[in-house]
Amino acid sequence: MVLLENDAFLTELTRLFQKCRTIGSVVITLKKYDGRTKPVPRKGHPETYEPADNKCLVRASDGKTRISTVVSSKEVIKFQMAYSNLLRAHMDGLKKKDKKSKSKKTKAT
Amino acid sequence: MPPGFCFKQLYFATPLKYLIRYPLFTVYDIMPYYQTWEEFARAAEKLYLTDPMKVRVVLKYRHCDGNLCLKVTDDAVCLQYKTDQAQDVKKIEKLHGKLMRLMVSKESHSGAMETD
Repeated sequence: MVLLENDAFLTELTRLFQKCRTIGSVVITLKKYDGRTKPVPRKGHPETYEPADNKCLVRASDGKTRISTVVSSKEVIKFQMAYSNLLRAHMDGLKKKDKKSKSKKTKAT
Repeated sequence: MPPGFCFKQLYFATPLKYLIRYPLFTVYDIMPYYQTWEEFARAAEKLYLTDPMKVRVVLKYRHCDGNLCLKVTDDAVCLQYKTDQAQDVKKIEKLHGKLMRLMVSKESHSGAMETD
């Protein structure tokens, strides 16, 4: 799992989408993150880590390559705008509204 | 994942010892897909607010098949939504943004939701 900065993550995500246009799937996972870098200690051992409340983890994969990034509250606005644009730009292989296309087809034939 | 385990394979074929150790996977086989986006979005936000740390949002996009599958789960409850309509992309991306902002905001008061 490659941990990247927000911008590098978005670039790599674009690359993943482009790679998977003909075959394969892109999986994106979003999860709240408390900033831990060490494993949770066993029962009975003292918990020395102060969980942070303002981060989330975004992971992406195409089945082979895995990338991830941490977004905190300071970067969320910028990241979210770029991320939304990216999703909208790349998830364009879906069907458009059926009713309109059907009526257009009947008019054509 | 136990070796040789595949979701598409009938899970009867999986050795019983793996089913016992990973009962989680049998739950996924029977979790239904939501029919309407509104119900799914409402259920997803509700699930997130019950336990923010446990919930993850998974989005799977297949350009070759032209479909999009969204899953929100806390490893006990699993909510799924599948679509092949372009009009759902905007809704999905909005939900993603909303959940991301919720995750990143300091939850000083639980149950607080941003209104769209």
